[in-house]
Amino acid sequence: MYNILIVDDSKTIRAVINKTIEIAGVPVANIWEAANGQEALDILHEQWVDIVFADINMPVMTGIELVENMSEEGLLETVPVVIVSTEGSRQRIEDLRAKGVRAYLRKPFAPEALKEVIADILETKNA
Amino acid sequence: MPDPQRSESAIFFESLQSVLEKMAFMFADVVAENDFEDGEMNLLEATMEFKGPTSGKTVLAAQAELCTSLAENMLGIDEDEVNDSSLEDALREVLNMTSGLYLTNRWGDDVVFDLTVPEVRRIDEQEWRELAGREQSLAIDAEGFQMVASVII
Repeated sequence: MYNILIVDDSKTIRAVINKTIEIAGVPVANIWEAANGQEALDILHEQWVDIVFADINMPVMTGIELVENMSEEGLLETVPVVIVSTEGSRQRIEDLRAKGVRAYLRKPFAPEALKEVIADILETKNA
Repeated sequence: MPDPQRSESAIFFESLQSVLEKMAFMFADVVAENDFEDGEMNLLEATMEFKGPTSGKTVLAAQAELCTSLAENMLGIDEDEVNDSSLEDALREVLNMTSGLYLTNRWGDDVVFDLTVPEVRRIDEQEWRELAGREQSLAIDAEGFQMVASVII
């Protein structure tokens, strides 16, 4: 069973990701939601999280700032981050990977794409 | 109304179609502006700006009933569970995804753009008609509901 954290300022997108995880049949213990990077960090400080799904453009703390903070705190080593964003620039995506982001999912995404990302990451985690 | 084959409008509409189909399971077609029905309508407008090698604004205006359907389909909830916040958020997110996809489709993935957070507001019928009448705007029918899409560069 996995603990998942969804970080997006859009309640709609958080609900879509939540629903897709359910449809994908991922065994979930807890799903937490945060509306910005700071809320996400607060949750990460209190709870064990197996995967983070995070948007980039959010108020208070962006997804990139969240990743940078997680890296500074050593959290990226144990908590994979998947960026879920409308960002399409190859340079930005490469910059994200260089910062330690594990995967990138472009919005709009088909449920199968999210399912594949989760499967890849959890397989790597359990290897 | 512009010729729907114009590059900016056509690409923006194709991007919108992709978003509506993938995220809300809805289909949309361009229609003539005078195919729009008159009558009292509850209307919303979402706008956002992009800055990069080219800068501009994208706009989506829609009937509240369409936004309700978007929220129902995207959230997987019933109509009576949809509130003002969720239908505004649904429209906001559709514009956000459409704009991101449009920029990549139009300029490729080697170009970097900064996008603002989309803003949503209620508009009246006068503002709706003005938006629909602009040269850069497209009148759209999405599952029987009315929508106007516009890219302004």
